[in-house]
Order: sequence, then C-alpha cells, then structure tokens
Amino acid sequence: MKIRAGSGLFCVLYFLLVSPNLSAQDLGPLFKRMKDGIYVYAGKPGESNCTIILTQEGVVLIDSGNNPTDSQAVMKAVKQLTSQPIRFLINTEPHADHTTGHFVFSPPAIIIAAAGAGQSMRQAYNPERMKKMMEEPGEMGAAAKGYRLITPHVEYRDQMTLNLGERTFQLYYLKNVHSEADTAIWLPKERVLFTAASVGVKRFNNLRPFVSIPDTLAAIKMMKALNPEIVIPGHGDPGTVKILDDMERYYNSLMARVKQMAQQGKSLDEIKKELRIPGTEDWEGKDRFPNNIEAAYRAVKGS
Amino acid sequence: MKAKASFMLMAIVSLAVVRSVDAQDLGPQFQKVKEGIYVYVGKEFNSNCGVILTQEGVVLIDSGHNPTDSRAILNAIKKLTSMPVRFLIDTEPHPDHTTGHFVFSPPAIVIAHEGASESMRSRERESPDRIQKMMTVSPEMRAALEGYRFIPPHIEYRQKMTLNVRERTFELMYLKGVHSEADTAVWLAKEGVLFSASAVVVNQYNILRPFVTIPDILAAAKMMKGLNPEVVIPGHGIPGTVKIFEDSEQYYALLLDRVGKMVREGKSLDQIKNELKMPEYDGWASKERIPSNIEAAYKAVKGG
Repeated sequence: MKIRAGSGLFCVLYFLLVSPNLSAQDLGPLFKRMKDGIYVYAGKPGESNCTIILTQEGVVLIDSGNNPTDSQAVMKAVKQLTSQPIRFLINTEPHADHTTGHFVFSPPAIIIAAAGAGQSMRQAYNPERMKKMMEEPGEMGAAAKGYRLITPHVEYRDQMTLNLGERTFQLYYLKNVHSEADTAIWLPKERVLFTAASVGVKRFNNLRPFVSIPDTLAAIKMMKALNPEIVIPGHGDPGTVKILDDMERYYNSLMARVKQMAQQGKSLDEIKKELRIPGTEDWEGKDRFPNNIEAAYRAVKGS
Repeated sequence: MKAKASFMLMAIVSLAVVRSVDAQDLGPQFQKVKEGIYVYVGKEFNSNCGVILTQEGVVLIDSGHNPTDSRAILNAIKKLTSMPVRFLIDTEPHPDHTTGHFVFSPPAIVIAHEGASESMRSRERESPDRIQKMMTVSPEMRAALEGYRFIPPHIEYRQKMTLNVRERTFELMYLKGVHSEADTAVWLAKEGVLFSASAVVVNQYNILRPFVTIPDILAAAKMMKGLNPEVVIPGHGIPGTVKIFEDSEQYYALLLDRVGKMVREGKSLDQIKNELKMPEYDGWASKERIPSNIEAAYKAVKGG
C-alpha cells in the first residue's frame, strides 16, 4: 500500500510542481508544440518525425527519431518536459529511420507496431551498419553507444486501442502504403492524426513493388473521414488535412494520366520518359517519380 | 544512461534470483504446467489465473477470482521472481477475472480484446456499490480490497495480437460469441500451452448468454484443437488436455441432437426445457444453467 500511496502522491506532485510549462522553443529548434502536451520533433528535410505525447500516466512516443542523435535529443526534451517514464513507443513503420533509436527508450518503453514489424526489422538488421555508426567519431558514435536491436513487444493486426491516463490512441493498420507494417495513429479527443509515411509533404513517396496506389487512396479516404485538425506525416512538416488532399489530388492525377497514356498504347518506358504532373515541379525526391509511375501503371493494368 | 545501466543491472540481478520453487511451495492451489508456467486453480470452479515467467518479467493471464486470490497470486510471484508483472492479459472482462487488476497494475499493462473496457464500465455503472458489498464478505476480503481502483485495459486489440516478451511469444485470439463481450484465447506455441478462456469449462455447465451461440463455441473449440496444444487451461476448472474440448464438443452435439429431435416433434421451447434430460452429465456442476444451454441449442436448431 505504501507504494500505491507513494505513486498517488507522486502524480499530484508531478502536476503541481514537476510538469514544466515549457514552450517548444525551450526544447530546441526542431520541436513544435501541436497541442497541449503534444510536441513534434520535426526531422531535418527528408528525415522522419518523432512525437512526444504527455499523459497523466507517462509519455507515449510516436516513432523514435531518424538517427540515434535525434533519439537522444528527443530523450533530453522528454526529461525537460516531465519526470514520468516513457511508457509506450508506437511505430508508424518498422524502417530503420523510425526504429533504430528504440534502444534509447526501451526499456522501459513498450514498443507497439503492426504485425510483421518485428520480422521486417530483423530482416533489415545490419550489424555492420550499427557497428560503423557506433564507431563514428563525435556525436553520432556517442549517441549510438549501447545500441541493441529492440523489436516490438506488441504486434497488432488491423486495429488496436491504447488507453493511457486521459488519452486514447487508436491505431489503424494501413495496408500496402509504404512499408511491411504501417500504422496510422488517431487521437480522437485531440483530433490529431499521425499518417505514417502513407503521404509525404511536397515530396514523392518511395513506392516499393508491393505498394498500391488504390490502397494508398483508400487509406487517405479513411484518414480524411476522421476529420483531423492536425495531420502529422511520417516525414515532412506537420499541417492540416491539406496534406491528405494534396496527395489524393496527386495520385488521382497520376492515375488518370497514366491510364490515358496506356490507352494511347504507350509503353511503361515511354510513359516514364514523357509524363509530368503539373504542380509537383518543386517536390523533393524526384528520383522516386519513376517508381510512382510504375505503381500507377500496375494499378491501371490491374496487376 | 544511469537509468539504463541500473535497469540492466536489475535485470541481471533478477535473473540470478529467479527462484527454484516447487508449485507446492506456492500453496495448494498452484500447479506447475511447464517450466516457468504456473496456474492458480480457482476453488470450486472459481476462475483460474496463469503466471508466466520470462526473462523480462512476469505475464499474468487474468487476475484471480477475488482480490483475496489476487493477493495470494502476488505473494506467489514474489516467491518465484523479483521481476515485475509487466503484462496482464484478460481472457474476459467479467469481474471474476478482472477485479484484481489493481493488485498488479501499475506496473502491469492490461491487455484485452476490443469491447472489454466498455463491458467493465457498464458493469461498474450497473452496480456502483459492488466493491463496498464485497468488503463485507470477510475481514480478509476487506484487507485484500485495500487500495482498490477500477483498472480497465490499456490495450484493446481487434481479432488478433502478438505479445513478445523476450523468449516467449503470446498469440492472442478473439473468440466470438463464446461467453462474454470480449473473450481471448492465449496461445504459447513454443510451449504448447493454451489458455482457452471461458469458451469451454470442465465438468460444469457454462452460462450461455443470449449473444452466445453454440456454433460459435464449436468453431472456437475446433480452432483451438487445431493448434494441437499439449496443455489446455480453461477459464474455470482443472487444467488438462484437448480432452476438455472433446468433452464439450460431445456435450453440445448431444444437446443439439436432443433439442433438434424435440423441435421436429413439434415441442415448444418451454416443453423442451421441462422435458429434456441429459443424464450423462448429472455429475456436472451449475445445473441452474441448463435452461440457458437449451435456449442456445434451440436458437441454433431453429437457425435464429
């Protein structure tokens, strides 16, 4: 009973004394405060985002930063914000630029991901890469020290709800949008949506052979229907539902144009050479445009 | 880094002090079913609780029938290991499996199927004085309830979920329409151990609520038999083997057969309830549940 009374007292003290009234600027230039208790560490251009969400029962992280240096910066910010532990870390995808930093937070954090994430991480694990990273002089080597591959504790299928303190997190598996195990996270009370890497911001997404544009459009439609106020993509600046609208418009144009050209008898190679989508001139990741066309071609041809 | 180092040290020390304890040392209700897997078998068809040790802490399956059971389970865990209870998986949301959550959480993370929270909350609303009443049962119960808090699940999965805790993997499978609003079977494939929830019980008539269907129970039993478990731990009753499923299958087959015949003879549900006899199961407990079993069989036969 002593422990329980102590933990109650701790919570009270936490809210009265410890919970600091910090602005995002106090945390560092890469942090943005999206809502009360919700801070995004917005990665440098092209890098992944990581979000800190405070609750009365501890911290929930969304992804763990692009690199261990980012993870350490996030950990430092968490310590500035609260003395509560990081209880859960939700992966929007299993790729290394979202998961390498798990070891910084777990234990004690419990890692949650969609089914298949553990296998994807084990398959992609490259001990040489990590050895090199740990041996790097300077900041990166120091940040990577103590690295261990930490795979998810919880792998859900389809949907899952996480309840922690006053917050509810609804997890939705997004099929065939980016990786082997993509998760959108919806905070209905706060109306904050994490879209994973199903959409980018002014950036062509990397559409691997198993990624399907119809599945991505279905995911966008589902996420738009949630009516989010704030949309936080896996990569790129957080914004509003416009992020989803822009990507929907792009994929619809791409599909329409590829369909038209295929109907004109053009081959995939010809389409790749000729096709331009107006409005994407300033988008990043142009090297990925050919695989976008391939995905549209697959969809048009029904394969 | 200090915190991490101290956690690692704690983990190493904990591993060193996982004690070699016989089930008998834990108390008469404990059975060791496999290395590091113990069952606290509820008295007189009270609910069971599974205690599973891992290198990263303890996983519990349900939290005991009453808080007195939960306290006994916590005492046993302390004899087995100094590691924390990290997860508590609910096979169902009913109070005889979940009232004791507060004994283990925090720190345990409670996991259940979607709908479990709502089911628990609605029962709390229906009987707000439940805990007060429970306190009057005995001084031991009052003591065991000290510090009671209502703890609904942290994690609610849909259909299927996998929990990995170091060397062990727990496959959680939703069982539809078998007993409660959110039933979960828990399968440890490497160990060949299956927690079958209250889909089937042992030497006892199950309570079949209006939303429970016998075809769903039979489908769940078939699915679980298909896993080929070595040890089957029901929600209530003595742990055993797949024979637990086979016994239930035989019972329901006979029940459906007899109800079907009587329906074809033009008998009403009330007549069937009055006349149907199942002498083969005279030794089973909870006979007051036979009418609900007949109703479920009648629905199945009528296709309603």
